[in-house]
Amino acid sequence: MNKRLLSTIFIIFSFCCFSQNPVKIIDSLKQVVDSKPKDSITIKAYSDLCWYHRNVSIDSAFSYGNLALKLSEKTKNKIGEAQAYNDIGILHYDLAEYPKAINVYQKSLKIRQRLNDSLGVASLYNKMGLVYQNTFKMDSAIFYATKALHIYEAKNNIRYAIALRNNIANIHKGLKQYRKALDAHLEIAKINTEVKDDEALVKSYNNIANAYLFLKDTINSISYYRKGIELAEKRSNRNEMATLYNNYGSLLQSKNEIPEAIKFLNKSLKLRQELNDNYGISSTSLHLAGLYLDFGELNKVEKHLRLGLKLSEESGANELKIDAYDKFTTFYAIKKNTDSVIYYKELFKALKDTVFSKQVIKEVTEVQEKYNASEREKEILSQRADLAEKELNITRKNTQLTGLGVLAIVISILGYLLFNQQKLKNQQLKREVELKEALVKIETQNRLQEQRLRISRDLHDNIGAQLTFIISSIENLQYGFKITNDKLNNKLLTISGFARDTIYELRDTIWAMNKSEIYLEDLQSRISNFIDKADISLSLMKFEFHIDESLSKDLVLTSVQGMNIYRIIQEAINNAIKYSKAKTVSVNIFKTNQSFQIEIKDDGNGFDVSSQKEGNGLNNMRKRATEIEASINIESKINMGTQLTINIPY
Amino acid sequence: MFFNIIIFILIFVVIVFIIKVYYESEKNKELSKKHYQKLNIVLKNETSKSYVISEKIALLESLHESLFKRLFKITQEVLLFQKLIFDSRS
Repeated sequence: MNKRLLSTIFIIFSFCCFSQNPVKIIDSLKQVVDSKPKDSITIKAYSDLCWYHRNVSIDSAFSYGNLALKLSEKTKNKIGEAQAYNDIGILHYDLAEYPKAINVYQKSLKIRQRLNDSLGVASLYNKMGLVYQNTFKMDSAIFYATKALHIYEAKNNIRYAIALRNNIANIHKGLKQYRKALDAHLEIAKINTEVKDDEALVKSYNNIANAYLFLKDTINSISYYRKGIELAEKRSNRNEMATLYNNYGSLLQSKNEIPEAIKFLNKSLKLRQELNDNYGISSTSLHLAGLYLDFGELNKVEKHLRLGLKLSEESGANELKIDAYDKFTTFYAIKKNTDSVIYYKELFKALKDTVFSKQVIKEVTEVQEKYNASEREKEILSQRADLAEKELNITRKNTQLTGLGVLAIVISILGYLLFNQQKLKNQQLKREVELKEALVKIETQNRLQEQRLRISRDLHDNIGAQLTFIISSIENLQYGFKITNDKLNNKLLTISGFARDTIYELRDTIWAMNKSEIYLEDLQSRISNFIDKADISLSLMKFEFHIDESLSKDLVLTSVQGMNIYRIIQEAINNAIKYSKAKTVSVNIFKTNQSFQIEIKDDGNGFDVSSQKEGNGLNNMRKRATEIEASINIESKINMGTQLTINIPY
Repeated sequence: MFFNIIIFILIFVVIVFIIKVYYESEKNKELSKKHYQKLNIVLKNETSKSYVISEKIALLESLHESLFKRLFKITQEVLLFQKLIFDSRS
């Protein structure tokens, strides 16, 4: 209950603390801590104590910051831990311990990034940018400030975004990049116009006018000072009015428009007096004193010099004091007051030496920082060069590796092609050998068969001669011995007939064998000869032979086909002569679809095909037809003749 | 750099060699195709010749069979003739 009450008080206190005195706030915070509230409230109180001790005692601030950090770590309060690191970082920044500040900021940054606290991250980027700005690492400063700016813009936090843009503009100004600084201020002015923030717009006009002044563009500078003055007067913003009058007066002084300059500086002085801005009053008074000194109005000079010196001593503004001493020296020199001249001259010298030595130290530090920055840049450049060289080496090695890879692929392709070529050659050789072997085999076989045919021919010649001799011997026997015995005569005639038939058969076969192929024309003439002979020898029987004209004369038959067809026709005619007692026997050869037909027809006494037993002659005809893949058909009726049809495919 | 140049030269040489081998292979294929065609024609001729010869041999065998039968018949008739002569003399 007690803790809840304290917490409520703490929250109310947090809202009110900005309007209170820091010492009072510190006391109140200490009371909160003493009441031992919840850990999260204690952490917040420690953190706030650290913040408020910042301007009171830096050691105490560190102490409270560390307490907040330890308690956060102990209670695993990540938000508190990040805040503690952030506060400690700010303390290091105040002490100009920039590396330490960066280190601590980065720790806080990691935590806030993990917590997705984008605004906290942006705040850290901004602070890191400021650290880098102070250490003259301007590129890093711009990098972090830009990152923070992007986050604030994404979150639509215009106020912080403008502050960051101002920061970036100041960095550019510090780098003497006045054009960029001017662009940044113009951008800020545009945003301020859009959001109608006239207070900020007045400041922007002042900054723009200052930037133009650095760029030695007095026309634009005057224009923006006037715009600023007009807006400040409209808004009754006396602070900005005083600043703008002062700046504008200085510009007019540089343009040697002294009366106008005095007018604006007096306006500024009046406003600053109303605002109790001692530093401002001192500055403007000394400015006016200088102007009157140049103008010769000595009575006005002393009044302004005394006011300026007094207020500068009160505010501890050494640069103003030096200016006052210098102007007093000139003033008394004009008035020929030697003691005063010596007095102010010595004061001027003493203070100037002090300030100068401080300034020298500051400048040396700055130069040192700049030198360090330059060294770092050199180091970075050297590292970049090393990196570039390494990258070049890597690229070279990659190229070499790629080249080697390509070479390997190309060699592989070549190897494959060579292997394929060899394989093809082997296949070709094998095929050639096979073909040649087949050729040799068939040639040998053909030679052997031809030899066999030759021997057969010799044998046939011999047989033919022997048969002729037999026939001749029989004829000699018949006529030489005058054989009267009929039986003996018949026998001799039978033997002679057999021998003659054998010779005919031999001749027919030799005819067929001597031709590698038989044309239809050859067959036609042979059949025709046979029929003519039959016609001559048998006067009572008429023979007809007809061949279809549409049948090509070039129709080629093999020797076996030709021989078998001839023999079938011969057998059929012989049968007709022997058994039919026909008056006419006709042989017709004609064409059908895919074959040709031979028809042997007689008008004899015929026979009953179903009851008649087939003899050797008919069987032989069928056998020969089968050999040449032909079909044979016999049609006969008693007293109606006989018709034999052979169908031969070609 | 030198190494790179060598690699590129090697690649170039090998590519040229590949092209050469490829064209040689193609040429060889063409030549062997022609050669096979010639051999096949010869083989075809020989095969048809062999067919014709085998036909003739078939005819020959048929003739020989027929001749054997006829000569057997003639011999038989001659023997019968001799028998008739002996019968008429005795």
